[in-house]
Formats: sequence, structure tokens, C-alpha cells
Amino acid sequence: MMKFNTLVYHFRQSLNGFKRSGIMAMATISTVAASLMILGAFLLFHGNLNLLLHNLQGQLKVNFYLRDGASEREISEFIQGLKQETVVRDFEIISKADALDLLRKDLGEDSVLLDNLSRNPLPNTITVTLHPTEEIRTFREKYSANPMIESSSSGKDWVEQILNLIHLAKVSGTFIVVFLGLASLFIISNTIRLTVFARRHEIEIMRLVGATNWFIRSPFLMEGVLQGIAGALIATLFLAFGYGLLQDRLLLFFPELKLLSSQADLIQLYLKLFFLGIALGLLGSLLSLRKFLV
Amino acid sequence: MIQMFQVSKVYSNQNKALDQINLHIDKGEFVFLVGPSGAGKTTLMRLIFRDEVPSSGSILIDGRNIERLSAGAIPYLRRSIGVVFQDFKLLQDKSAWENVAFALRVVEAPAHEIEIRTNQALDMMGLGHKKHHLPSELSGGEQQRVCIARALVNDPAILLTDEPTGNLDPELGYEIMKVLLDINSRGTTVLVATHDATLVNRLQRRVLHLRNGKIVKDSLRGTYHHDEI
Repeated sequence: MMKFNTLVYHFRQSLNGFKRSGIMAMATISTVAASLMILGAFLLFHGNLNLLLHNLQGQLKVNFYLRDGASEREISEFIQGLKQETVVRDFEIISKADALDLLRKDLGEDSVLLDNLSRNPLPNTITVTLHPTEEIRTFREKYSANPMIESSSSGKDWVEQILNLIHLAKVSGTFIVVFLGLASLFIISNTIRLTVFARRHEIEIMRLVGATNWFIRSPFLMEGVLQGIAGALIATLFLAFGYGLLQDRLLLFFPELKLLSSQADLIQLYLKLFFLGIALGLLGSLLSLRKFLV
Repeated sequence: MIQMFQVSKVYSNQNKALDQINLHIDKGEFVFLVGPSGAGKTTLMRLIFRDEVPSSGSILIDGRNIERLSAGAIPYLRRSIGVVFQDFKLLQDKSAWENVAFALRVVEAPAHEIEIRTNQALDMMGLGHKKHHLPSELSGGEQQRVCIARALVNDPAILLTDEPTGNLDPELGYEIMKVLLDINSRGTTVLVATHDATLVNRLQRRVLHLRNGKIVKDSLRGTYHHDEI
């Protein structure tokens, strides 16, 4: 275990290294900041999409209308099938009689119209609520094929389109984030490599007087972490400020819009960015040192 | 303290720097390693602190076979060996004091101990008044002494010095040599690579003659003449 005064010494060394690498360190910090900012923006977007999804969930219902005379076995087989589906959140069976009662309630005074019916014309219904998915239509078509199903109905088509859009945003967002993460990693490792190169004389002397590899690595690792932290701080400040501004503007024009705004959620997101910055710095410097210090 | 058995070192350019060296140096000995440039003096020293590994043969330091040391154990071997380099290897942007303290920081000595021992080592080298000078503000002899102070500050069992008087005028060279003898008298095994015949002859210590990578002469109270052998 490294002693405290050694850690302090390394910390000072890494601050010096930071100063010495000047413009390169600035370049690294801005790249980390830019990557984390885009990542953070994506995470905010993602959080808001999830919120939207949550609000759309009421629309994620499919009604299956059963043919009269469907046997108990057919129904229970159908339900067994539903239980196997991961997209199914829950389902409800509404009998003919219940459906008629519901209709009667809905009609209120006009329900007298129903009194003249010789028989209940409403079908037995199974209402399925789905988890957010782009496959509402597929799901509906699959189960409508069952011979005991007379017909089916589901939420509006635009729900599916929005879900498709969300899916696309998630996939492309992940791609962008991974790409930017790799770019920052590359740039950090290059800065550290330059610092290592500039200090190769010192490193050689350290080795000759008996420094362990970890002793030699520590200041460089700290330098990488410091760069990561600086980048993360800048990114967080800009994001917090920018998101606050955007939120105000959007709510001005769309007052009914529900945006991600809980302090806890936002702080959690900014903490994620912060630790990601540290991880990028650490990993970047480890990568560059691996080649130099064997 | 230092034992070599059939040690050869061939560099990648097929240059045979050392050829079948057998050597035994006891604890507390003072040994000159002499020979013309390219005889293998520096290579022999670098093998001892495992800056190089032998192509064949084995080297024992204090009974330990060092070419089998794991990467993690090498720093600990080096802490028991002080090395004074021909080109000093001082950090140019650090003061004399920091350069010496550096060797103690590396072994994670406590701060107060670094303070005391660094000052002691510099005082012993007569550099107490110049401890805040940068290497560029010191003369060659002073830089040499900073380098010796750094090699000694860890109290090593073995001190290796490569041409410690190479860049110095004879009087200063003799001063450095007296310091080395003083260190030796405290029990440190000292190995001095040199081709300074005057000093070798003046001190009358054990002399190992190297030529073309072989030990051609090993004399207990030896002398050295450039034209011999």
C-alpha cells in the first residue's frame, strides 16, 4: 500500500505534469468535456424518452374479441400463451356480461336502449397491456390468428411510430456514445504518452534507483484522472446550465410537456458523467503506460 | 557478495561484450575494473544491477540468482545497489537536494527521514551549501558528487561507479576516490570502473583487467598501465 506522503508527492508531480503538457492537456480536457457533454445530452434525451414512454403506456393496449362459443380450454391455452410473452405487462378478461354492464354505465341515461336487446351482442374480451415495444402490430397479428378470436383492436398507429423513433434514437445514440468514448480514450492516452515521452529521462532514473512500476505509473494515472475530472466538471456545468435553459424555453411553448426534472434523477445522471470521466482518464493513461513500462 | 559464473553477454548486433566471465567479489571489497573502452566494463556493471540480463551463465548477488528475478522483485534488488553513472543521470529541472531525495521517495521513506538523510548525504559530499542549486548551476565535479550522494543515500550494500573521475581534473578525481574509500571503510562493497591509471596505481587495491570481454588479470594489490597486456 502506498504511503500518504508518497501519494501527496505523486499528486504534486501529476499537477506539474498537467502544467507542463499545457496545450495538449487542454485539448484532452476539451475532448473529454465534449464527449461527456454529448453523452450527457443523450442521457437526458433518453431519460425524457423514457418518461414519454411511461406516459404512452396507456396507449399500449390490445383488445382481443372472442368468438361466441369459444371453449374454456381454448381460452386457457390462449392465456397460457400470453403468460409466456415477455412484452405482456398484464391482461384482463372481461366477460360478455361485464362488458354489457360497463357499456350500460357508459351510456348512463341512454342505457334504456339496451333494455330491448333479446341477447347480449357484446363479445367476451381479453385486454392485454404491453410493455413499451415497437412490436404492437406483430403481437396483435400473431394472436389474432387464433381461430377463437373474432377480431381485435389496438391503440393508435402513431404510438407505434413514436416507439420506432425512440428505438432508432437509442440505437444511434449508443453508437455515437461508444464512438466518442473511444475518441476520448485515444486522445487521453496520446497526451499521457507525450508526457511519458517528455519524462522518459526521469522514468529511467526512477527505474535505476529502484522504483516499482506502480510508483512510476502513479503520477501519470493521476494526471489522466485529473484530466478526466476536469473534463467531466466542464461537461456537467454546461449541461446543467443548458438543460435548465432548454427546459424553460420548451415549457414556455408546450406547457403540458412533461420533462425530466427531478433533482435526484439529474444528480444521478451528472454523477454518472463524473465517474465516466474518471474512468476515461484512468483507462486512457493505463493504455498509454502499458506500452512504455513493461 | 557478487558472483558470476560463465557469464557471457552478446548484444543483438552480435557484438560479444562479455565472454565467459567468472568472478567473485566479497562483501566489503574495493575493486577497480580497468581496461580500454569497449572492454566490457559498463556491461559488467549493468548486469549487476540487472539493467541487462546475461546471454548465458548466472549471476548471484548476496546469494540470489538475479536473472531469475521476477519483474516485481527487480526494484528491490536495485535498492540494495547504488549506481554512479558516467553521465550522472541527474534530473535537470530538480535541485541537488531533490535529486538526492528522489532516491528516498522512490523507496517511500517517511518525510522526516528523507529530510535528514538527504542533508546528511549532501553534507558528506561537501555540498550542503549548494543543495538548492540546479545541476546546470553546478560544476562537473559537484554534479558527480550529487550523483554519489544519491547512490549512497539509501545505504546500499553495493556501490557501482562507472568512470567516476572521467570528467574531472586529477585532484578532484582523487577527492572523489577518497570519498569512495571512506564509504568502503564503512562496509559497502565498492566497484569502480575506470581507465584512470594514475588513480589505480596510487590506491593499490584489487584490480580486475578486462579486455575484449574477458578478465585477463585479477591482482589483489594491482596496478594498471595502459600499454600492458
